[in-house]
Amino acid sequence: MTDRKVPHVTCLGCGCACDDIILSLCDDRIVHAERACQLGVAWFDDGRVPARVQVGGRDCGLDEALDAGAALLHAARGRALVFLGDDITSEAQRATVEIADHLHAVVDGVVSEPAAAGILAGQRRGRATCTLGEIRNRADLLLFWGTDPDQRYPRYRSRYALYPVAFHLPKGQRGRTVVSVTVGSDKGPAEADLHIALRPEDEVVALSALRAHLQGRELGGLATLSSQLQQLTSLLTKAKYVVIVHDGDGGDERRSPERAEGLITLAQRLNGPTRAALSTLRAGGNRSGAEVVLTWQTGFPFAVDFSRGSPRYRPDRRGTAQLEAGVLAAALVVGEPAGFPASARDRLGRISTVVVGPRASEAPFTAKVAIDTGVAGIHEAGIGYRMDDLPLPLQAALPSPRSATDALRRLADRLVAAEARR
Amino acid sequence: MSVDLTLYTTPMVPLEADVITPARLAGLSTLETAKLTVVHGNQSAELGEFFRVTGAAGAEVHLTGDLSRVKYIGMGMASGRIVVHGSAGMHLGAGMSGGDILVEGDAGDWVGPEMSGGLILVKGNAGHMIGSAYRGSLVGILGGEIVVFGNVGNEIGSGMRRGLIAIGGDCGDFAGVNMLAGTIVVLGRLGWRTGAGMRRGTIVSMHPAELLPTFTYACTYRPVFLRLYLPHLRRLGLSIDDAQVQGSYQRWCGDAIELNRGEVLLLASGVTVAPS
Amino acid sequence: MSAPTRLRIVRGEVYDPANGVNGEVRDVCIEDGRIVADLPQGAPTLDAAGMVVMPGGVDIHSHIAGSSCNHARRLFPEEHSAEPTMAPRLASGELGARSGTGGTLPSTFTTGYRYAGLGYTTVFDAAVAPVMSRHTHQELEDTPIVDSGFFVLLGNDEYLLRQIDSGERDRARDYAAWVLGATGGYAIKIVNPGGIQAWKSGQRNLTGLDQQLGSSRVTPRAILETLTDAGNALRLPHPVHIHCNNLGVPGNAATTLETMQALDGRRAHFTHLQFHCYGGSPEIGWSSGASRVIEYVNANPMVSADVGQVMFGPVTTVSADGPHEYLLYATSGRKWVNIDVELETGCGILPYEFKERSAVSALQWAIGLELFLLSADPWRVVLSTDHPNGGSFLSYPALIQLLMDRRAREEQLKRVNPALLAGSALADGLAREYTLSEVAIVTRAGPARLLGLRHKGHLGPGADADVTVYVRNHDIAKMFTHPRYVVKGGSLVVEEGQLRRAPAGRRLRLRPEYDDALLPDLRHYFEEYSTVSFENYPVQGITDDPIPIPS
Repeated sequence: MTDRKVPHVTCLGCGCACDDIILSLCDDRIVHAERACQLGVAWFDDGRVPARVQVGGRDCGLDEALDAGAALLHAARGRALVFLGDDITSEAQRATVEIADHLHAVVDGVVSEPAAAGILAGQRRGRATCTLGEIRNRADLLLFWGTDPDQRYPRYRSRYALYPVAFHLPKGQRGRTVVSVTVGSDKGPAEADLHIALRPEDEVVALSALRAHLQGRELGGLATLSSQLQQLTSLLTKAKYVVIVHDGDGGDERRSPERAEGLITLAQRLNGPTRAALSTLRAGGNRSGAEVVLTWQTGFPFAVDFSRGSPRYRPDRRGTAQLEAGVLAAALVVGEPAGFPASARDRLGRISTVVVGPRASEAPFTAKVAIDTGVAGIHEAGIGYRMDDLPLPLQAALPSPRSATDALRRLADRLVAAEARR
Repeated sequence: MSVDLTLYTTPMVPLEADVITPARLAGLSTLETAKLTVVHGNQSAELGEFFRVTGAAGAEVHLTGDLSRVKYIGMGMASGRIVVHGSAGMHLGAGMSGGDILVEGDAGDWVGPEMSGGLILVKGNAGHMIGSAYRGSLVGILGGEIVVFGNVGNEIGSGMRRGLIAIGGDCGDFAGVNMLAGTIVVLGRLGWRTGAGMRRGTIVSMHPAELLPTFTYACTYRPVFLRLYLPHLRRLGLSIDDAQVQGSYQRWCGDAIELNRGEVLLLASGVTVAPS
Repeated sequence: MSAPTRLRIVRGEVYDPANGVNGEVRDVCIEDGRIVADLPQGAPTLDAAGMVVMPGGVDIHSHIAGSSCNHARRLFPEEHSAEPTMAPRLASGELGARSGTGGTLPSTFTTGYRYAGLGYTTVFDAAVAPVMSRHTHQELEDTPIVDSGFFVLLGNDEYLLRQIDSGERDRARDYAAWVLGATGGYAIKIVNPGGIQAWKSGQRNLTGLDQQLGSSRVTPRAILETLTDAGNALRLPHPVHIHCNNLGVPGNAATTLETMQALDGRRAHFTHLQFHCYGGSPEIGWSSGASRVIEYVNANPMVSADVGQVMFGPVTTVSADGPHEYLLYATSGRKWVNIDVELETGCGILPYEFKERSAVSALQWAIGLELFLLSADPWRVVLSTDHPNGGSFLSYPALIQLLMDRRAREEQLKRVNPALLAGSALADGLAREYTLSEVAIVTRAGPARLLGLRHKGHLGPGADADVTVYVRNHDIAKMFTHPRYVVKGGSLVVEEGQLRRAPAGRRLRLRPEYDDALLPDLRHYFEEYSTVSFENYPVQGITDDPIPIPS
């Protein structure tokens, strides 16, 4: 009964990446995750993960599985998908992108449609944003746009946005104003000082109206909205530091590029009269790490296609779409296999699929090669990225069945060697 | 005097055929033309594996067959003429600076992106992003004309700086989004959010449309320049009646969140839609 | 042919100004990654007859790795799509070359290959937010061949300003030492002292050296004095790297001079000086302030600078100077990124273009050249374009041509808009032409000496075996664009102008001593205000050991 505590653990349960978790361990099992929210507790769970290595459903050694995987993938060079899933370290992500480069593969990941729309809008307009530490210490007006962080980012309000007594907000929550703009059926934070309810079709229009107000231009139509919006505009311009919070990984109906662009330009324009930033809530599992790694290695944050031997940007025809079109002959799924889009899973069964990551052997699709590894931040140390792209250390609190980074690097070496022999 | 390419194996996977331009084929024998490399899916292949090449190379290139999966036809062409007897794939005439392309069937998405001159005529329908800016760049086509007789999809003319886009049928949402200048004429119905973020430029439609609140009604008048533009489009084959040429149009100016010096002209055709 | 551990470069014209060698024909001997005095006969040789042999290039100020650069990369897919780069075909047996994309801010692998392709073997990223340094280390690991390091941004971070406000200058020094060690940085970088904090707290910016920050007693002067003294007291090899207040504002030459005088008698380095040498005023417009500033620099041996030359063409401005970047956005309306970072600093990104027909661009271009041509000491006024702000590092050969070839200067001078050039020294015809030896100083020996890197920038025994061999050519730009051979750490990375090997580069970092009486107060500050735990802040697992600081 070896009991021990591991402090300062970073949790990847959601994009908040809280790094103050204290894990209590007993016989290599997690028995308590102090300070973790319910999402974190579920994400840590008891830390037990399968440790199998299988080829064709039959247990075997790691080298045998890596040889088989390399052979399958190399045979489909130029017609392969490499999928960046959740819960792997940025070091494993770097090895995965290296494999995609050598394989001339198409790279896709768990970037949801609204997140993709946000990235594309950001590439047209830029972004006025800030890291979570600035929100905690400086934001005296929080505008929650179409989201209540409590459900999917439980500690966002207590740790970053609302309650902390802060450097420039000694009165803590009393020094902050909260405005909630709800769109359609979703509900905003309970303690909002001002509620504005919008119909979904009025959302983009309201954003445009706010920007027009800021430029002192009068508006036709929407008379009813403008009184509420005028009240909001005066609140915004009187604040010292405004943060607009919206969910970057919300439901699919949020994916119109116009909505993303409206939020971005509103936050940018607010930097005239006062200071403002747009805080995008992003899911956990080190997804921000995948975008950051892909950007520095290829120049593009997602939807990269190496098939012509150098990175090309294909946000309109992503890897999973090409898979569904039957154009690809092999797939390497790295990370949690459960994160692979359900619509394309049956296709994986019909091509040669290799899965490397936590719970690979329990993938919801048939894979020719499955290599179970540890979970980033529980079994595997390294670096993970928070929703605001801030790098944080990941700890290996429990012994790992096998390192994902090491397995992927050895797979990459085999592919490079195979290519050199050709 | 033209070279004829007849499709005899339909590509199951997109075929990138940016070599099909009059300049590239000029002076090549049929054998040399057949040897030109194209990219089929992720493998490079030869043009001859998909097209039977006949005739002598001249300023005209004729393509026959269902080319809906053949992409980048006429990419970057500066002169000469391409006629597609059938439908054409995506990125038709991307970055072209001169010459003209006639498609008798339909065309895919991305017709004439980053175009700076020349003429593209599509008798059938076309997809999204017609004459639009590629991802990340704020500047769309710099000139030239794109005429689609049928319907088109969303975001046509996005980021357009100069040139003319004319649509015979209806068009989807966000027509002329982030438009810098230039002219878009839609004989059919406009979709949602027309002219969102436009700085200058003109969007004309022959039907009433519901515009963004950041567009304000200016006046109803008879624009002189349409008496030049519309007959020009009629000569290109679009069905335009005199009521449209001589008619009076409601002028809505916007987008207020940008420069507010763009305009959307809606044919009033005697029916005065009371501006709210 | 595996990389020879021994190599003798023969019959080349050697330029090694740090050792007083100016164009002599002599051998350069390499063994096990180091320059040695001699080698036994039979060692493999490299014939450099009719060629120029120089130490590997050292870039003292660039933006190539880290969170701000990556946000800039992410912002321009159109640039990357226009310039895909295939993986280089390395020598047989050398595996794992990577593809990438170009543009004003290329992807990391392409950056490493291109710097080595120019003959540069050491590069420093000039602005990294301390809390983001982990990200910079990862990107530098994916930037092959060049040895690299980075400067850590201080001077706008809440904890330091709090120490200055309460007069705790020793604690500020210990804090600076702690941050350098925790982040694995190499030197202290100050950007717009106090100005970024003012931008974040609604005061928009600070313009005067004695202007107070909010209600505190902190002024830019106090920040500059505290950090410059801290850097010198810690005996850092490179003094504080200063980006003055009022970047890019007409009349800011006065601020620059006032800043230099405020630090009189102290070692201090002024970066991308060109952007801080503007005469005139916002009301009456622009003029050149280069001569006044360079006069002061020439007369004060403790002052050093890198020029930050503007080269015409599209660029990407990436700077911690958020208020200045906002100004560019407000006037140009182009896509703009602003990130306020964790109580420490900030970053602003915006596309820009220097045009020959723009009077202001032409003046900026001329001012940079005036600084070079009026400089009395190439050891203290070295070459940079503040990549990618003033121009890409790929434009260094063209810049070297402008310095060495007066005719090339005059041809370009005819093409540029002369409106603001009346009375500038360049317009009156500066005849000076840099010699090859002076070029070797401003691109290698000078930066290495200013950075305090004893093993870099020269070819004396014990130096790192970083050597670049150029083929003599009347077209100087072509000569410096395509070196025939580049040796990095004894490995022949460029042969016959082709990239043949891509070894990993080393990380150059420091871990200065500090009084850990600081730690309880620092830990309390972290627990109160930081979103990163105190124990998780320091970067772990950096393979290369810190460079010892000579006592």
